[in-house]
Amino acid sequence: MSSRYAGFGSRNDDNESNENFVTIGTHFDPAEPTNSTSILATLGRKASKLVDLSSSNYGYDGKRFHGAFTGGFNAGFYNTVGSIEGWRPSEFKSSRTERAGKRSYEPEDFMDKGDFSEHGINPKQIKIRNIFDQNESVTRSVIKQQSGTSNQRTNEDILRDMIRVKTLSIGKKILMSMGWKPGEGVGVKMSRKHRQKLKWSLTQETPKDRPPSPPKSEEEEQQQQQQQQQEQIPGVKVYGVAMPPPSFQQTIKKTSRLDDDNDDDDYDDRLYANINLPPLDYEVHFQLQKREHHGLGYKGLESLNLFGHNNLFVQPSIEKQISNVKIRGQAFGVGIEEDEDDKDLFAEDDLKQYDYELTTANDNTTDIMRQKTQENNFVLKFARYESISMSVVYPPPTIPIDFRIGHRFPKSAMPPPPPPLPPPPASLSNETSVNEPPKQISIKHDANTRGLLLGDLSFLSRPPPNMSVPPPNVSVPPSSKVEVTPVKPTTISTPSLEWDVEKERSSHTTPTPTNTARTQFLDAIKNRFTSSSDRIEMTERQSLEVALESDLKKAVSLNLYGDLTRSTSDWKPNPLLCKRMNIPNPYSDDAYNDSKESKKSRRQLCSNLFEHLFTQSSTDSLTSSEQSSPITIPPPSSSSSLISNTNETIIRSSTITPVIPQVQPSSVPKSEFAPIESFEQENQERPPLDFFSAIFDNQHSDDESADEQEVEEKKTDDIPKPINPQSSIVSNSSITKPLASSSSITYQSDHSDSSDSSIEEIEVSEKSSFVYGPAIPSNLPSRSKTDHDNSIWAKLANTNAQYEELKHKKKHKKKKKHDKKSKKHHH
Amino acid sequence: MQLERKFPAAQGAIRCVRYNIDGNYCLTSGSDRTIKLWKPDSSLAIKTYTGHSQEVLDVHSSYDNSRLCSGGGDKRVLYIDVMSGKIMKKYQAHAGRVQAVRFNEEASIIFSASIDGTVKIWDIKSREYDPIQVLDDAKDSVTSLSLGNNELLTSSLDQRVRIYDIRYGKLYEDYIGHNLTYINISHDQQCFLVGTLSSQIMLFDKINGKLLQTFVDYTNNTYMIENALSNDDQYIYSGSENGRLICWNLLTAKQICSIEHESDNRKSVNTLTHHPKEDKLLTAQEGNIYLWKKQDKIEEKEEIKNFFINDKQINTSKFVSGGFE
Repeated sequence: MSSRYAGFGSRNDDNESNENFVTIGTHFDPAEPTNSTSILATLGRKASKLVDLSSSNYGYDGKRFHGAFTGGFNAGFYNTVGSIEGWRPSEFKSSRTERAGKRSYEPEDFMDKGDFSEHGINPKQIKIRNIFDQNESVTRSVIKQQSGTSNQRTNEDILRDMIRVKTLSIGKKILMSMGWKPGEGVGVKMSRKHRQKLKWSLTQETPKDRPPSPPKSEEEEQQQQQQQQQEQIPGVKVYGVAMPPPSFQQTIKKTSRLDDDNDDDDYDDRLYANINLPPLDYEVHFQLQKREHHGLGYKGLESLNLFGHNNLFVQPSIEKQISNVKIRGQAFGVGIEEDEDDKDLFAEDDLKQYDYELTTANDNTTDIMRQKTQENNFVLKFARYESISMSVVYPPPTIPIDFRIGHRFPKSAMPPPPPPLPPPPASLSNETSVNEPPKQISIKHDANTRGLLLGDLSFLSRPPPNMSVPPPNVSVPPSSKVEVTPVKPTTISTPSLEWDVEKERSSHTTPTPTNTARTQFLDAIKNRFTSSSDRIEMTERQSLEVALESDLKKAVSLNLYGDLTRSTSDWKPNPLLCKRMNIPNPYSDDAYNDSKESKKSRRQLCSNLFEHLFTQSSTDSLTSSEQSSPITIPPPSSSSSLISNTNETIIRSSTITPVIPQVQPSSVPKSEFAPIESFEQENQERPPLDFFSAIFDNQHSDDESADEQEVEEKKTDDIPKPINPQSSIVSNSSITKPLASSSSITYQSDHSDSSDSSIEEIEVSEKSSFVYGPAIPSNLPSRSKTDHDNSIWAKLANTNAQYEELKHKKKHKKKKKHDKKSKKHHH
Repeated sequence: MQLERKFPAAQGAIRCVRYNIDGNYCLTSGSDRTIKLWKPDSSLAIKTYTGHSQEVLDVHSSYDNSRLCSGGGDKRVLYIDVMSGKIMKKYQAHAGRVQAVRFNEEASIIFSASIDGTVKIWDIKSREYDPIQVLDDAKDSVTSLSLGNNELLTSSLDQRVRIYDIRYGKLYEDYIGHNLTYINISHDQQCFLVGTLSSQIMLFDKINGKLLQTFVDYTNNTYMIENALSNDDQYIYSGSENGRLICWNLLTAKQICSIEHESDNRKSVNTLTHHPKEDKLLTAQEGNIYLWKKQDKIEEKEEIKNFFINDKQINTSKFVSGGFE
């Protein structure tokens, strides 16, 4: 039974009687497995355990990271700070007698206890340094113990084991595992002789000077000879340090030989001639003897870089390519007077330094890419994507046999198209010169009128180009042989709603408050109604809707709600709405078109609008003429006469209004009743044929119409026109209408204004019988003449006049029919 | 239903009564152009808001109870501060009287439906006084609107329900075939309830527009009678033109109760609102506000039980008979 106690300086295992010895420290059990670290480490840990109070209480999986600097699990003292008392502020006292010393702070001052512990940032522990072997010693000792060579491990053993020096670096270990032994060189094994030679050369002199392995006898003889010479010939001078005495030389040689094992070289050579030896352990370092008289470190010219060139004698390759230029070097052009001596006059620009490609030097990635591609022998480039599918070629549509080029309009609406189509360039040239010569205005359309005719209203945003254009109604020339009906024949056929025109005008001219209010209202209600112009479409649509409605009703009657009754359509919410509702916009933000909503206003109450209307009608006669355009105010008499004939009120109103502007001078005060007038203007919308004629203006009547235009203008300027010619007109109309035949006669013969107007009236009245849609109120014409866009309408009228000229032949044929109709109507 | 409280509003005929978001307060709007804020549980009138020049047809309070919006016969939509009673915004672009107004969830937008056939959407946050969007798809007056999570439902006199799905950017039009006066989306957002002028309330599936249920046995031929769903979507309440409050079971469409407001008053019950949390109901007849509380469900349960038992009996009898023969 042996109990071993690990106590420093105490050893009582052998002698049980010596139990009086004082035991210092705690004994440890050597059998205790110490796998992880050395005993010292365990000792340290134990110590730290004892010291570190927090470790036992706070266990986060046994790991103990703490301290303010480690950002660990718990910091400070029991997760607080400082000590039990908390942070104790260091006191600072300084008085006159006792100056406070300057205190320097160490990093440790700001560290916790935890920071000094095993896992802290500044562990203060006993550890084994790297140069000592940790594990092997322990294991070795354990093995030793187990092998039983020494049953009893003494404390010295343990300590010795602890302090085993770790000599082998990992490199050495590896080398040794490969068969290397300390003291050998690394490399291919060489023959003994060669090795010897090397060794000799290294230890003695350069191999040139001395024979690699001088035989011993010779050396001795030489030395002896030297000695003899020295002794014998005292005249020989020896520079430098005097040679040592020969006896000493001998000893030196001996020792050297002893060291190098040179004494039995011969024997060894013979013995181990065939055995290869590893190379020498030391580095081969040649020391050259200095044999010339230059200074130390002198090197010859060739290796010197004299002027900073890399090579004086080799021209850069690129320069060779440009070798035509004979003058080279920066010295060219440097004169005596220039005092820049520091310049290297003989330097030449190395063209290699210039870039010959547009590549960025820093572009490593591309370089790498290039390298890689070159290495891997494949090519990086972009190839065009080639879709497999071929483009589909559709055959041209088959044209029906009865197809004719050009659209044929219904006869009633249109005259035959003008035979020759004017060349477009001519019309273009005319367009530009619209404003200067009034001649051409009558004939040609400019962009605006054409646009208007085509329904393109975009030009309205521009200021009206030509306000000086004569009013449309003056277009009837007194001398014209061809009858012109200034009234548009289309007035009746395609009437559109008041608010359409209203909208146009309001956008065109600066709207008065009433106007805006009205337009707002009309705008708001517009889509509740459909204009009678697209009546056919309407009826179609209606019939469709009716059909659909009946379907729906049927479905409902069968209680088949669901797919039958549901219709889905796209609806674009305002992006702002989506934003406010926190719903992503299903469409792109641009998709929302709020052109429908006139941004300005609609604020005004609709009731206000109505009020405006009514008040204005009452104050009709008081309205002032603000607009520059000529406006007619129908005198009350005329209106009354109109009204008196109840049958024809509607017709007349429609017919008269276009006539009026012709007669009225521009100075005449006009009513402000734009809306009603707009009705009229609406009515003047073109039939399809008019479009045609407007676009392809006929050259036929150029001169005539131009003349007419001139005359008209003169008229408007010079002659003050009767304020209420309407009455006469009306009377005419009332007379002429029943007598359709007579009107037809006058139609041809008369050239006076009145007659023309009467003709127009008749025509209009005839056409008015075709009017669809709501009846026009009888008192409308009276207010009708506020025209803001007179110029446009004038142009329209002009074009119409031209068109009428062309048309009139055809009218002859038609007339009879019309007359009949009108008769019917009257009776 | 049991009548818990009845009190006069003293603002003429009550056009609409609405609980606030948590059900502690209610708003009434009357024909005397005022809006009143009540605490219905104690019949306490808290504040009166003025600003409309004609009768107020609908009122709605924001989620935080800080603002009101209202619309009325003067074609205006007002945005009112609750505390001060000040009119913060006044929108007037409708061409007809405003039938219904509604805040969105965050009270940043007001939807207003008018008999001019449009629903206009007002952005409160901007200084613009124009609607940010006008929904003018309806061919006739828009009578009411209801707001789902992602969609807006409108009922129109052109006999169609329109569902504006904002999330998908789609408009679904459901032809119902009756003049529609009131629409109400269910709490689960799956169905909508439509009041018609043909004395029937119809329940539709929102997703495919299919008719799920029809509730009849009440009168609604001339007025706009509002309806309501209980919080669990189990019951449907509606006023009636004969002065009754009527309740149906949603599943069975059976009329659970039909209660006269006054024995001597047969005037129409136009408006009602369901408590957002409890089983309470506020209705209004003429100038009086009625607070109803739901009774125990014993009767209905029995009814349902009976219904099922009957079903089973029929089945079993058939089976048994078959087995014996």
